[in-house]
Amino acid sequence: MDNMTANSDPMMEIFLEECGDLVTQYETYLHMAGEKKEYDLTLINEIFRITHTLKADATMMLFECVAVPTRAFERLLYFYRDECSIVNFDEFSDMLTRLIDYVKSEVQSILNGEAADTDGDELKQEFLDYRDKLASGISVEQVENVEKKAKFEIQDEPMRFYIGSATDASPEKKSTKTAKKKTAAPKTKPAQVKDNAAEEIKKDAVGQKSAKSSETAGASELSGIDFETSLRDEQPEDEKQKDRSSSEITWLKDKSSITGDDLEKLYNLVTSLGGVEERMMARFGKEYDRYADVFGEFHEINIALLDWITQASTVPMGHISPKLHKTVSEMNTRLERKCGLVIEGESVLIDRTWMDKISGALVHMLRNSIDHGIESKEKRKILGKPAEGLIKVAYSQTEREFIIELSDDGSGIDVENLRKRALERGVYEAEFAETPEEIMELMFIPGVSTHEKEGIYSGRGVGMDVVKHNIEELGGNISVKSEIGKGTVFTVSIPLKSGTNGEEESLYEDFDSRR
Amino acid sequence: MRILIAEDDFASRKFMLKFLSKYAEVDVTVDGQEAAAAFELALEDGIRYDLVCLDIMMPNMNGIEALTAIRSLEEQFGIDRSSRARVIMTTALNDVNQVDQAFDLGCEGYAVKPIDTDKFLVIMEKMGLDIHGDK
Repeated sequence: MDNMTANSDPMMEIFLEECGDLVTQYETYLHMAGEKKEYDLTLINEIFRITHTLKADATMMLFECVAVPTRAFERLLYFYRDECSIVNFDEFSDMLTRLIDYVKSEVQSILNGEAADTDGDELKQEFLDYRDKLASGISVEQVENVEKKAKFEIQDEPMRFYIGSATDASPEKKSTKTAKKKTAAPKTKPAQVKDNAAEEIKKDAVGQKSAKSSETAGASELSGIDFETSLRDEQPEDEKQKDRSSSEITWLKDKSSITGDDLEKLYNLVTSLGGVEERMMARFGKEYDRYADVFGEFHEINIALLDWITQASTVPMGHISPKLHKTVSEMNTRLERKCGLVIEGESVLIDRTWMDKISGALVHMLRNSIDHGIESKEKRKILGKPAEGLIKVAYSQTEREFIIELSDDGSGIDVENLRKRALERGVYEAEFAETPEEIMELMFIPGVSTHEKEGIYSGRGVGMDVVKHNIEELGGNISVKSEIGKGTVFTVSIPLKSGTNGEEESLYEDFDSRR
Repeated sequence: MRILIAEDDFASRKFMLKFLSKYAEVDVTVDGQEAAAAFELALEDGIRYDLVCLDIMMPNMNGIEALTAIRSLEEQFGIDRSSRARVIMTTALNDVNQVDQAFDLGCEGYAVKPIDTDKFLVIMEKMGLDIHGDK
């Protein structure tokens, strides 16, 4: 359900995700260049493409602290692309690394809900100074040429700006206009029951003829949170919009996003409503039927609230399926592979805050499996395997753990080979790894690749260490089993936090079955 | 500067009018159809709008349709990309596909309600609109 993404702006979510992707791509190319100690035009073009996308995204999201240095970096790249083809390896690597680190830290600040502490001007100046240095090495005519071409291209870029809602943390912005009108309705009349909040809620609830769909659930949820506002509401109509943004329930005040803690508080409040309902049922006894319509509404709103909050704090794994399918089809096209993807357990719910890390790790793992695991069509034919390779991603959940299993029917990992390459790379641990399990672990060490030939997408030794890092940040671990010629299975397991995931589900069912 | 607002919700309309009147001469319409008509009239009279703010969910003609109509009118009148009116969608919808669609159809800005007025001014400036000078 799209409009249920509760705690942050969906555009912002996508932007941050894309930033992460672009940074990973930067790192990949940085590493590729490191192997050869040079940047050829293909690499410069790729880096240009990433920079261009990053600039456009950051500009659109009014994320100037990233847009400013990125724009300057792009201007630098124009020089390399159009005139100055010889790139000083060390100097350029240094600058790219600084940009990467900078973008990473800015994205992290956003994720932590902090304001950017720098405007990026310093880095911008550095890039521009370097550009001037390059310019001084070529003729004035050439410089003009580059500038002219750059100006022309920049002029042609579409202008796009996005502004998230003023109450970013408020679920209100997700509500449809109808929902808004509904909540606004009681405000247009002077509130007659100022000192009785419960009365106000009831009035609102009765006013809503159906709270069946989740959309209207959003509305009922709003009326709940908003009652403070409605009680105080004596401002003229046109002040309303301003007023809304400044008045939320106390603990939501001044927040740029709802945190897990907030959701937990909200969750507790909502579940206690269920308790109140039970007590009312008990107290009214036979009378209950007489007020069935009112109680019915109350119950439905309760359920809708619970449904909403469950949706808000968890998200089904199926959410990232399109992204995974896209990754596979991109890889298929680029590598001229044929590989299918089967995803199982899409309905498994996970904590929303895990999604970014898990999705990043999965994309890495998928790329790795297709690039190195799945053999070429020709080779598969010779081996007597079906022409189309198959990757299976299965999500499951036990009482304690969330598990992802990613298996392919590819070539498997040759442990001796892996060890040999780790030794060549001078990886210290390789000298002590003896059992196949220990050797497999080597692939998670930065710089160690599972494959000799390095593809476009993966295998430059960046990737699996990032995957492991992501998973470990969530308190989980990853293990590999592989059989040469048959395939490889990666298993990721992450312990569940208390208070999220499964619990809400069971409570919800319990809640519903009472009726 | 001249601004056209299309907004069916009374409160939002009044809010936008009050906010933008500080910077420009503002005309207000209540749906997409009226907005497109007003826009065409302005083109004919040679007093073009610099900025158009379109709500998306409106009766008769919605904001997306109005945006399409406005862009095609400009084409008919031979106005090129660089000098055409800036369009900002002002809506409670922030579905990613909706945002993409609007940008693809040629709006310059997309602002989710309730409008963050500070940022709104920032993007107006970035769009080359004069918010400091005389109306």
